Amino acid sequence: MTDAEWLELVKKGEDEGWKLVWERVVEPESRSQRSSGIMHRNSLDASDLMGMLYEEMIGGGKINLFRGEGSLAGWLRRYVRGYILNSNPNTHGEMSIEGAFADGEGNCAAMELPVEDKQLISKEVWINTHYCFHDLWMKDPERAYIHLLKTRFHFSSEETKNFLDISSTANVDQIFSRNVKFMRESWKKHENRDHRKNI
Amino acid sequence: MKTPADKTVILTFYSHPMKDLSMRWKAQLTFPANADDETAALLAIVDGGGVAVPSGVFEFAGVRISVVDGAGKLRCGDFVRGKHNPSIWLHRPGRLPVPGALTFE
Repeated sequence: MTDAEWLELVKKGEDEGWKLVWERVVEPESRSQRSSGIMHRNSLDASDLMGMLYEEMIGGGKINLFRGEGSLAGWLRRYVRGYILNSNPNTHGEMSIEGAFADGEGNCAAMELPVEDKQLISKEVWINTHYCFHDLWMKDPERAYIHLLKTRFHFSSEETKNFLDISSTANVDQIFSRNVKFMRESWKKHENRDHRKNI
Repeated sequence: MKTPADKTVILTFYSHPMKDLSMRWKAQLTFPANADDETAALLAIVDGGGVAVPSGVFEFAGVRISVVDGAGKLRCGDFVRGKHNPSIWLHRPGRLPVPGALTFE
């Protein structure tokens, strides 16, 4: 099955397509050395990832953001990995301390307590996003509209082109790609700012 | 300009942060589904307390939109013509104009 055929099945929510998502993406990633530890700490399991992925890709329409650059499996896996890295133990599941040992005694895993306030970090990320988005707006409002339409309203390039009367979908994609780079640069500029005084 | 047949777009704008809460405002511009250049996008503006702005002028995309009881209208074609203009101001009678910007929301 080619990536294009697989993509179509995933978009339609077909069992065959989502079975491959499980086999090629979710299951291997949840067993990987990189992700399994974080998932264990944050009370996530593979079925949570599958549910999240289905909700985001189909419910949120994010599957339409896949442009065929690289493999579909690789793209989905990056998405899942990002979700795992950003998972928040303060809001997801419960942390049990009954079966854990403070220093790993008795061949059990050591009790691991969060050392950062994830709520505060996510708030800072949200504020930072607004700062960066404002920079984009000041650069050119059209670029901010494109960013918003594609990421918040899940517009396709064709829909974005028609909404803003842009000459071609290729132009939309090019501007969106430049926006992403711009936001990354802007992020570096803002991340050292002390946002706590603004909260 | 053409909006999709199955999607309504709501753009949200906030005033720049002001210490005086009474100066703050929030505006939402709604583009209906299947809109074209001649369709009116609907504007709704409230102040910092969530109360509709009774009267004023919302300056956006190079157009001055009259606001009455928190509502106004903008032709979609005018929005597209002014899509590169970052200047947004709310003018209220007897008050200083307050600038704002599009938010990621």
